[in-house]
Amino acid sequence: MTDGFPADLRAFIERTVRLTRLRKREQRDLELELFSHFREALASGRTPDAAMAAFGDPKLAAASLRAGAIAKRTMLDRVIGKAALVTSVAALLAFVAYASFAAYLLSQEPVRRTDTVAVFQSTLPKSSSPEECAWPIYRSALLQLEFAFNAPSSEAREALNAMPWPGDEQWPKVAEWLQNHDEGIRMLHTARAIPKLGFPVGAPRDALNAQLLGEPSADFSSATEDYSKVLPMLALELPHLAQMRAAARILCCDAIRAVDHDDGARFVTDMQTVLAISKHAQEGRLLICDLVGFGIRSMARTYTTAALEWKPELLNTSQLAELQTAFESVPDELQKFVATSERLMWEDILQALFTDSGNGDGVFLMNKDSERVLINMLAMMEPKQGVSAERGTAQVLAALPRALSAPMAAWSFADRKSTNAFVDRLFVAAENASQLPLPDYLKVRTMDRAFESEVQDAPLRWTLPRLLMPSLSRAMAGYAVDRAQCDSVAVTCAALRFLRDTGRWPATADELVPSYLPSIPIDPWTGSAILLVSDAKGNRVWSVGCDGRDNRGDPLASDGFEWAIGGASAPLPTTFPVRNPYYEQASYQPTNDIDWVWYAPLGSVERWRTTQAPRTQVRSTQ
Amino acid sequence: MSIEGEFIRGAGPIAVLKLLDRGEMYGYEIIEALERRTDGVLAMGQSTLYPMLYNLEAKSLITARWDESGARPRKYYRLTSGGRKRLAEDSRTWRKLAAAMEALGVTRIGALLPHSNWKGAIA
Repeated sequence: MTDGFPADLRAFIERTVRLTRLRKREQRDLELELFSHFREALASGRTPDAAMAAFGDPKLAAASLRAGAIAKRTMLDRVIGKAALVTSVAALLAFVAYASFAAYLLSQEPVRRTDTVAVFQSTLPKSSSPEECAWPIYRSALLQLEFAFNAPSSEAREALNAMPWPGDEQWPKVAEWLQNHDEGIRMLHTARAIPKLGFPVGAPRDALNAQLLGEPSADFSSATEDYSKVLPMLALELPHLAQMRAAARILCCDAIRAVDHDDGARFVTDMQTVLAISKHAQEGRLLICDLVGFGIRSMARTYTTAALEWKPELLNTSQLAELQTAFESVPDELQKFVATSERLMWEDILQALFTDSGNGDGVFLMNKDSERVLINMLAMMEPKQGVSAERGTAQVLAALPRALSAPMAAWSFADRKSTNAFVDRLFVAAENASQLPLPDYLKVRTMDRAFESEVQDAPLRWTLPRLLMPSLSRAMAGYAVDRAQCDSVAVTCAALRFLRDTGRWPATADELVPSYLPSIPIDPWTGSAILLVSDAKGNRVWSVGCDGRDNRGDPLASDGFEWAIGGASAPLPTTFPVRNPYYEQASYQPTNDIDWVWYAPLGSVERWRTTQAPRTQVRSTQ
Repeated sequence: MSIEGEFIRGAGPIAVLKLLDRGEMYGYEIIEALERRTDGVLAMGQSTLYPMLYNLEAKSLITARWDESGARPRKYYRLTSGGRKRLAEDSRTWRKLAAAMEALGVTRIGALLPHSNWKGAIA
């Protein structure tokens, strides 16, 4: 149709039409009309140049032609067109803003403003000389006891780990080993008078420590190459805790051997040392340190009660007083949760995962490094359950469906300040919970539900605390149990001293005050005075237990009240708001509605043997 | 814009409607008729005509159709009944305006119009 049309005129028309920026169909119509127009102009004798000149400037023409063409559109069409234009501009602006923010995030690097390990180390007790620290003594003693890192295992060592009682099949081997290693055990005893531990947490491992502990673990750094730099608090190794547990196990076995040999003084020294170890283990006040300390004190209580039930006459009055003092000497501050060190761990997480505006605020920084930190943390939380990095990735992606890019993640998650405030409230709640008496753990559950509700209201906002915060509240009952365990031995010693002095078992707890105890011992479950009785079944001390019902302290029904430490019993919270996805549902079901029997001499250690054996038969080992 | 420009701008649509009142015309034909019959006074830039035609079409005062039967395809415009009605109204207004100007003695309509041919275009 346009064959033979002058090229310059055709170009003029096409340019004019293109400049109108009309829709394709409208441009086609206009083009036809202009071709028609110029064809008529040429037919009338005008030259192409004259026709173009008469038509006018293409830009001005295009503008007015566009206005005219748009006027022909329907009202609805024009409204939609305008809306599309506005939307396009808005989308463009949004894209520019998004891209700018993405570029900003891309340019950001995590800032390690706080050297958390240095802060942590500054909280450790200072000592001016190695003589003021117990760790060198433990180390020397354990090396002497053949616990060097590369020392071959032996049957006796294996037997020691099982902690057999006199009468058990493995006991003779253990007893012989203890006899042969008396010097090392006596060396352990010397550490009990030293208040500080002085293990150099986070410091390079010297030759002596490496001899006992081996070189720093390769497992941790192999999976996550720079982990110790990114999350140094979490990467801190605490290998001394396992060694101190080992020392405590040796001393407990030595203590029961002392009972077997009627050596009350040795027994008391062993227990004093175990208690000192439990306090030393808590140095640094990381939660894991506290839990190890509780575990060691629980051993001390078990072995002391077992010894006093087996041979009530073993200890003289002054030895009983020494033992009571040792259990009463656990400082109050070690029996409540202090979140200072745990907060430093969280500070590491904030520094690794958020930008730093310099005033404590920032936004979540989703990049390769932070993703790796998240994956590795999740994979590390439950390594025993075989959580692989791949599974970690899947979990992260499943948990962060909207966080496929950094800006979305930064906008979706709470900012640094809010996240920190949220987590801090959890820490404060945990600190308060650790000081509650046992029955008040129902309040912990209520408190947990409040947090849970907050998380459910904005699950994406609180993704990071939900994924990364440990389940603190469930560990808090351990503090109350620890207090009860120390009380149980103190009351038992006080009651035995009363018996020695008066020739009779105290009928009520208030008889022990003030000569034997500073205040009336309280049943941790009822808040009332602890129960004591002397009847046909013998002398007993007991708490009514978590069901609040008095079963008169039947020792054969008691489980040795390893409550909560061993993971049993109600009424702990069954859910936790910031539980990470790998944490199995709590199984705190009321499994024992029986009394906690604190003391019930049976002339044997039968009720303290492994809980796997049915407690139907009382067997004397004498 | 000069007063003359304003006049021309206001006069353009009615002039086109008046031309189409006599029968359908294609774009270039209208341009030539305007130029010839107004002695160049209403010879608007050629590119101005088409937007004006589109506006009149958008207001349903004129309609268009393609005729491809001849040697050159042409788009013909013609008056609608609405256009005819508007032409009548606008013509009355213009006549009143011209009469008012004449009554005021500002000028005779013939003097206002530089060329006598233009009178025919709006009568």
